[in-house]
Amino acid sequence: MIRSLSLILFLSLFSSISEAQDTIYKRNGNIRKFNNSFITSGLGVAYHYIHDPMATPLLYRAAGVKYGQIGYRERGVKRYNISEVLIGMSALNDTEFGTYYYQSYQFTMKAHYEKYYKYGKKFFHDRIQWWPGAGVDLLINDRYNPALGNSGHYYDYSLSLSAGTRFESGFTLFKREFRLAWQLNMPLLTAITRPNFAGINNFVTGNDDEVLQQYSDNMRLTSLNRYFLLRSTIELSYPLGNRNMLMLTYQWQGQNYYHPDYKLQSTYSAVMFHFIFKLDKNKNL
Amino acid sequence: MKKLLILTGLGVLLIGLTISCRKLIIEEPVDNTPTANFEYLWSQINDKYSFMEYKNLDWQLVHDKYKPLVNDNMSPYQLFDVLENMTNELRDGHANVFSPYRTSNYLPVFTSSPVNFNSDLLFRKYILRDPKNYFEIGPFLLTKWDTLGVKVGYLRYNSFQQPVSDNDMETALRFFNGTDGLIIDVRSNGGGAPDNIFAIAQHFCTQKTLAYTSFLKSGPGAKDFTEGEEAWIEPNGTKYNNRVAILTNRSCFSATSFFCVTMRNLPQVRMVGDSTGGGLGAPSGGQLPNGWSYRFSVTQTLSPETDVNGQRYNWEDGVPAHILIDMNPLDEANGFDTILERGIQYIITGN
Repeated sequence: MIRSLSLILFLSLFSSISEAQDTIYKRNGNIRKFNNSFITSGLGVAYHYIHDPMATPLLYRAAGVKYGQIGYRERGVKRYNISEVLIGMSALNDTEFGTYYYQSYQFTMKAHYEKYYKYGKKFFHDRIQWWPGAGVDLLINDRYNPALGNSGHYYDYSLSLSAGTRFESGFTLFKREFRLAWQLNMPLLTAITRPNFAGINNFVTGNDDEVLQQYSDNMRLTSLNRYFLLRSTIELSYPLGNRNMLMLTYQWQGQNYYHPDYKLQSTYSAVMFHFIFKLDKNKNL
Repeated sequence: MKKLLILTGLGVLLIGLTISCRKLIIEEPVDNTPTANFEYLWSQINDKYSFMEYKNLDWQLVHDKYKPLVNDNMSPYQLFDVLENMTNELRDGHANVFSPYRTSNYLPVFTSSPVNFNSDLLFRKYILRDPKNYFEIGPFLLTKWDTLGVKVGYLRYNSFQQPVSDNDMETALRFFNGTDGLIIDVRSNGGGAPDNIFAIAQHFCTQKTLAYTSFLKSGPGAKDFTEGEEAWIEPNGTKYNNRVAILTNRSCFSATSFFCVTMRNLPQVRMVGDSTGGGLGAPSGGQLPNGWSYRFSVTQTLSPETDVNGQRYNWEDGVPAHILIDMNPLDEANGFDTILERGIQYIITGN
């Protein structure tokens, strides 16, 4: 019951903080409101390593995984909100043999809502801006290994409250203004659900409703002592006309769930190209 | 240019740093030696197998028996033999090791029992007795006979892997409308999807009825199980309330045993033939360090029926028939299916 309530609390928090934000901007002595919003969309490839000892001691990898991303960003003078959904499918092979005989498949969905605030003090004559922040992360990994029959379905679904930090620096190259950003995110409080000890839902009862119940029953609330995730994102933005942008990102993520019976370890590296479309006509930012 | 070099260097440094973190996150996989594979499978069964106590197994003793047979110079084929023999100590048809070239299976349940099923005889002498009355509806073979003025329907279901739709059942029961009783022949049905149990059974009950209770392994201790999860059948669609004989043999396994546990508790139903082969533990598995996969039972099932002490039955070794009877070789030679004839007798006489 407590776990279910935690999940509901997290979900409601996720929905309540995703309201739109205006930017207060001062021009010619007058306070004016600007809504600097962007739609982002991206495509890329990733490389995964997954070690899920509940299913096997083998280390699985996936190369050339295709990812798609859509997002919404709001940027102001002192605030920066990032909302993103990223979806990917991958075919996993074990690293020991690299064969397709026991190939697994993984569906991944990541959703982030992050809020950053610009730190007032200047670093290196304001060449680097620091944006500390926080966010909510939803991570869904669903793996299926057909060779394992009834127990071929393994998953980790987690919802986290995270701390984040973002460093930005603008520079001019080839007479163009680029922006380089490095962002780190780390969950501090996570609700995670994994398959039960036996590795299967009790499918013989003929009651499909119990699947959701199983997710809830196996949910655990954890912190850094049990669950560690670090996401590092490097962004290089290249301005196009009308304040639209091209962005190249490299993202690395390491995940480690330490629970002795439900252990999970994974890393992920992705390179993505994004188009960033400015939604409003304001040219001041 | 200098700026570009600095940026490139910084980018490479950051990417390199994060990539090198992989080994901090992911521990090294266990060795892929015959010993490591043996120990891994042994410990998985030790922690998760659901009938350790019911079958009175000393799993440490099994370890001590087979460990000396394992060495790191043995071939994969030799290792497979050891793992097969070890899992066969569980005496469970749901305990298997799957390699690219062979699958282990516990066969004595089937091989040491009478076959009690002759498909050729069944087709020639019974199913095709009146070809105009023979139909194939979904996964079912249907026919009906008039025996001494009693109309008997016959439904053959070969495998629970074949899905049963509402339409299949409704069509079949329309076909059996007006019959005095029905024979459901699931002999040598090796199991499949449990959903089909409920799709069939819901037409034979008049009220919500407990089918069985299932307990899932929840920890490494022999008594670590979840609270029982109850499986119910609820009346739905066309009802068939006349006598039903379910024909069984020892090759009825897994979902077929679940079906028999569900149906034998209904008042108009009698199981005729031999006990089923069991398989009332739902299997779960994984992969060994060498890539082979395995599975074994991780649930227990209790029947809604109780013994004189009020204890619910655990029929993992086979669901018993109400009317225990084997095929008589003499009958078989003369073109009679002893078990089927006994089923017809139950429908005619109620005994």
